Amino acid sequence: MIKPLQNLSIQKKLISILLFSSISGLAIAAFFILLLEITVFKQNAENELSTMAELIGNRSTAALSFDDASLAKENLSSLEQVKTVQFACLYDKQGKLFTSFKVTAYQGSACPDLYAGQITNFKQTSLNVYKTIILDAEIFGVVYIHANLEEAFLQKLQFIILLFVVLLLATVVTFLLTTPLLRVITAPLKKLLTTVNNISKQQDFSQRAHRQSNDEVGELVDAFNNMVETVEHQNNALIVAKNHYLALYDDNPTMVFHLSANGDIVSVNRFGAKQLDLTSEKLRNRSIFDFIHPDDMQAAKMLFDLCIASPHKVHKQEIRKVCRDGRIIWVRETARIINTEHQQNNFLLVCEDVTETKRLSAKIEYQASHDALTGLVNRTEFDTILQMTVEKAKHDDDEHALCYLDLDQFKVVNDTSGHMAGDELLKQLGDVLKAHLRKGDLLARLGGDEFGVLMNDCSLEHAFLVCEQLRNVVRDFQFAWEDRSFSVGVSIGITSINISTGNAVDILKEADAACYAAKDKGRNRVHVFRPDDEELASRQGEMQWVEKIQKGLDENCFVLYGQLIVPISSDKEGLHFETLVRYIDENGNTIPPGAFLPAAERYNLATALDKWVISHLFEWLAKHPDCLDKLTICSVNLSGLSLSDESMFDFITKIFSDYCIPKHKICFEITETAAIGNLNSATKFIQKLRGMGCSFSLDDFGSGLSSFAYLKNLPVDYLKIDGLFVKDILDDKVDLAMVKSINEVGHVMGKKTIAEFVENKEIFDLLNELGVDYAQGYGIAKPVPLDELL
Amino acid sequence: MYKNYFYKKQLCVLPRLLFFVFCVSFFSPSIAEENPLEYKIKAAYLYNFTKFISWPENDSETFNICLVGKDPFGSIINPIETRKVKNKPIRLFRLETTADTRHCQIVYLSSLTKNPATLVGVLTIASLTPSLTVGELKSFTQSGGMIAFFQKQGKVKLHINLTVLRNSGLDISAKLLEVAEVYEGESND
Repeated sequence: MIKPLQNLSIQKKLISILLFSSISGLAIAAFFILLLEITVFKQNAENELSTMAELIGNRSTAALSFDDASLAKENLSSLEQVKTVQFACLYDKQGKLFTSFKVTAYQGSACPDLYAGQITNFKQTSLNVYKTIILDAEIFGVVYIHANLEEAFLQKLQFIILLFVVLLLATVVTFLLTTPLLRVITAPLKKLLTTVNNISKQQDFSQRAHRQSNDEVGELVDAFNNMVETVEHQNNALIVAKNHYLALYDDNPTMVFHLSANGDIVSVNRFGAKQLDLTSEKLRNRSIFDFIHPDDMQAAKMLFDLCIASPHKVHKQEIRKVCRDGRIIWVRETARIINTEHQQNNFLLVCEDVTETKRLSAKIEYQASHDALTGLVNRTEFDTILQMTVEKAKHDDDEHALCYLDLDQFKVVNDTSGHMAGDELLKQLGDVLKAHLRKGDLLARLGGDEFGVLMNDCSLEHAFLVCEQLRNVVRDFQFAWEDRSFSVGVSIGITSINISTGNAVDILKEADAACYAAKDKGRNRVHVFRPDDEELASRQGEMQWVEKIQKGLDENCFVLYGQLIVPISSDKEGLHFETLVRYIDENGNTIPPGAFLPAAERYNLATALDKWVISHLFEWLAKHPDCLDKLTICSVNLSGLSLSDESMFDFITKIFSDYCIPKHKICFEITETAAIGNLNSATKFIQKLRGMGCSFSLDDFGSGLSSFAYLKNLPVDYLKIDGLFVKDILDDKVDLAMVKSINEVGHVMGKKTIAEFVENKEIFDLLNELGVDYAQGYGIAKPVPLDELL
Repeated sequence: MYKNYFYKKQLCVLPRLLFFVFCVSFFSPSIAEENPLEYKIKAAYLYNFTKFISWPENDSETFNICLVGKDPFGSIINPIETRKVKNKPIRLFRLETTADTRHCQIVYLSSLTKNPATLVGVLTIASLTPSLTVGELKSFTQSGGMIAFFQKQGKVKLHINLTVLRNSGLDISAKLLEVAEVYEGESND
């Protein structure tokens, strides 16, 4: 009943309530009045008739006792005065009808048989009164009166209806008078409602309702206005926040997708849409899988499955996406499942464009594994592949070959024409070498001028043939640079990789050793590593020397020797010698430097040894001032490594001042090879020391690979002609010509010449003839301990 | 005064009564057996009288109904002894003579008793004690009896000598008078 009422307007509700209360009040009143009236009426009727029955019964006791029906009937007839009575009956104590009476108007049959237990009752509108006649506790009979109350009831009813009509009329009049008063309540509410509707329609929260009364509605208006004000504030704040977050969402430099359970795009931010070259609107309801690279489809679907499988985790992966314009971008996808009230198994997918990162990482990966200059595989990558090949060979019983290539005379190009030329040569040689390798072979640049070749499934013999070919190719290769033409050679070491070989490091060492052996044998050749190789065995011996040298430096196992250098022309001059170094082994044997210098050079001990020699020489000189007085010049060897060692110069200047050695009395000998190997740093080093007063000599000149061109750049004071030319000068015309020309060129350049290996008087004389300035050798003086020089 | 009347009356009525009793006894020696309904009614009426007539208080423990002379009821009346009058059980006495009627509250004299002495005795007793004398035919009441049964239109009716009744000290209900024919006998006063 209340439900349909709820949808009515307040005015109608109020009217309904008024109506309802009036009608229900009226109805209840009517009901109870009716009930009461009828009850009272019935009670009265019953009482009245009961009394009459009692009276009649009492009066009829004698008639009953002595069977006087006429008297009894007379008694009954007194009921005629009662209008409602229709008939009355008198029964004797046996229950038999004794006498009866009925009004003339009554047509129906009267006096039914009497049953035991019949009591006074109402049957519809008729009242049946039974009264037992008792006298002295003895039953004499029963009086039964039947009355019809219909008419009486009707009268009663008419009265009640009249009453009700009067009440109804009063109610209606009251209601009609009250209804206009309801507007007092409804009018302000209607006004408030209009304002509310306006606000919600126009979304204009600046509007306010007007207070008209001081009752609850007035308070409601105030509360509403306060609320609207709050809403206005919050709405403004929300709009600001929304714009803020929308900007964050749309301009976020990641693609943010909201996807349905089957991958359809529910929403996407502006940036994401732009990345895919579409608008957010056009992307809506399209499947995300339309934009996934076919190769990555499986992975993309798997990500969704993963999300469903473990919904509390965030899942990531990198895949490619295909944009509308066909661009392929790499994205890092982050996805998780989001379950809202309305949607199940939806996904939040955030994609970060990692195309650039991917490109860079690919580049870095490439750079990490490739040589920037030649584009060939670099050392690291080569080591990795080699290791894999070695491991594989151990299982597969295949044979592979590892070749170690070292260019000869590369430094010449580098030093004479600059690094640009050297780089270009390496680049071109890389291409040349690559062109002559099988497709499956791996060519790598291992160091400055070193290359490695890994030949898969290749026997040692075949590798040797290939390497010979490579060697020929390199030798025949003419490198042209700025009007000049260079040719270089290559020394190649080969080693086999098979089931019995050691690890990758060992194999690389073997190949390196073989290459070194090839170089040692005179360069531009191929050497195959064999485990029982004699040449290599000597290399192995070098290793033992490393320890000995270190020990020697610590425990002063070295001794200094001196070999006199004399002027060839008769001009006398003071003491002039070259300082040499010897090793005294544990047995007291004196070991010449040829045994340990290569090891010192190779294992970075040369500088330490040089320092040891210089400090001990200076100490000795300082201890022998007389000798120092006599000394014209004393030369001491510096290794190539020392020339480029940054600490060397400081060490030398310090030690000069420590021992107060006159700088002009010291000459440093450097080999041609060492000088050329580090031409720039060597030149600087020489210039600095020469500036302090020291002098320099170039050792073993002519035996190296140098041309006179270097000589121009090397600011040395002395040229030491390689003993190899000198010792055969008497017999070999070429050697003689060489010595002669070196001497001449040296002189032209303003340098003094020193001939080594002067073993006899004839050579000495010939050198004198040639005009060489100084001579040194067994023919003049053998090396002796310094103390013996005096 | 009452006694005078009683005797006077007795003398007048007696020859007719005797004649009547004689006739009845001559034609119908056992009335109850021939007409049991009638005597059933009469027995009931005897009891019913106790409802409408009040006797003065006495210290008798029973309510005595005495049938004097010949008994016309036979066993029909016997159930009356199961009833009570004012909590006093009814005792039925069948008496040959009127000698013992002093303690009877109701004295019934059947019309079979032809002996006039009995009628006289009954009327005498009744005038001395508060006893209700009941007899047959109007002549009984006219003779000085209090209530007589008589037949009218096939029904047993009552004939009451109100004067005698009033004089006897018994109190009679008006309701009883309504159903009876009342005979106002002349007073001996």
